[in-house]
Amino acid sequence: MIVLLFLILADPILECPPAPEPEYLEAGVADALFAQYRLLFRDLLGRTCAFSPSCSMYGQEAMGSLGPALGTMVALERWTRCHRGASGSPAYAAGPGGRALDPLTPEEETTCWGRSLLPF
Amino acid sequence: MLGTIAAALLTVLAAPVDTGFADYLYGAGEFSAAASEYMRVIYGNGGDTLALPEVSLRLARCWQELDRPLDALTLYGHIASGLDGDHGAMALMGMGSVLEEMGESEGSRAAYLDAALRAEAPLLRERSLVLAALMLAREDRWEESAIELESVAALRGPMAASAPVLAGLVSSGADLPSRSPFWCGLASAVLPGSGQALCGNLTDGLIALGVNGAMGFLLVESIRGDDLAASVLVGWLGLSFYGGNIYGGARAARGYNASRRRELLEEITEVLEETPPPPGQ
Repeated sequence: MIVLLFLILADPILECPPAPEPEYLEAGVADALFAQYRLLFRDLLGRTCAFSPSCSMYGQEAMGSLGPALGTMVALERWTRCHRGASGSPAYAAGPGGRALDPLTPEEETTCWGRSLLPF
Repeated sequence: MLGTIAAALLTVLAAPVDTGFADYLYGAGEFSAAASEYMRVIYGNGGDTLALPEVSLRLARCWQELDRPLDALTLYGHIASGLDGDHGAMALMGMGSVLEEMGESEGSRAAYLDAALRAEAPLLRERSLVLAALMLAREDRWEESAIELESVAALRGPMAASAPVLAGLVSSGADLPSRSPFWCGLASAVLPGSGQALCGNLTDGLIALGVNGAMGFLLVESIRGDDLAASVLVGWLGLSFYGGNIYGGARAARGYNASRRRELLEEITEVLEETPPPPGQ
């Protein structure tokens, strides 16, 4: 039962809509918590995340677009994936600064094959 | 005397447009400066872009390189609508490449096919056909794309070396290994981390298994200790980790599929980049 419940819940997460403006209190509290987290871990302790966008930005976006319950799940899931092996993993495209590119809503893959064959 | 002056004037007027410096900048990848030079050349010759098609095509390409796709598209479109033959075909190829980069595969394919119809030189025709076929591959229509590429290879023209390699790569797209997000999510629901491990992310799987195991253990201990507050907190956190783990299994499958596709597209890009430039470049 729980399994089915979460499979139903996972589907809207995978089809994640763009983040709306935060309308509820939880998002405001979450924004403040994420800002504090960044201040402590990134700015004061100098910790760097393996991903781009960073886990805190990802979590903040997830909270904004999915709400606190699903957003927490998604943010925790990302946090468990954030380790040294992630940045060089072939599972992710290379992002800025050698970090693994892992946005909440993946962008469509584009190609520029035409440029290679333009005769001018 | 008058004859000499007239002859000198005719020589000056008939002299080919000097784009040497602009071409040098263009070749050096200084597209912003090259665009300014090409514009100076065009304005210095009456401002008619159609009168200097090669200069105009390079100007449009500079704008394309400078991430000004709409300006590039407008100029390519103007050249394509005003000129026939190879210059029109090259402009259509340029339009196709801009549309491709904007994610408009269908429009891009139409432009490449139109370019192939208009081109007189076999090199242009075959390059356009190859690009039109590759737009099908971009839409995951691998088999149709491979058939079209094989037909280009059968022409035994200027693309005879690259087209069969591309056809082989594209046909392998239909058999790309893939994982089902549903089944990987379900696997992670049954055994936390197994969906991630099935997609090759063994470390992620082990971490998910460890975290979910630890949360389960803590939940059982807090329930046994009749600690309601701790049970609620750990239960909520544990459920969040568990739900995240299921999502993680499904996400890993999507990532796996995207990664395999990305690798193939990169291989195709490498083959295209190794294609020799046209003679005279």
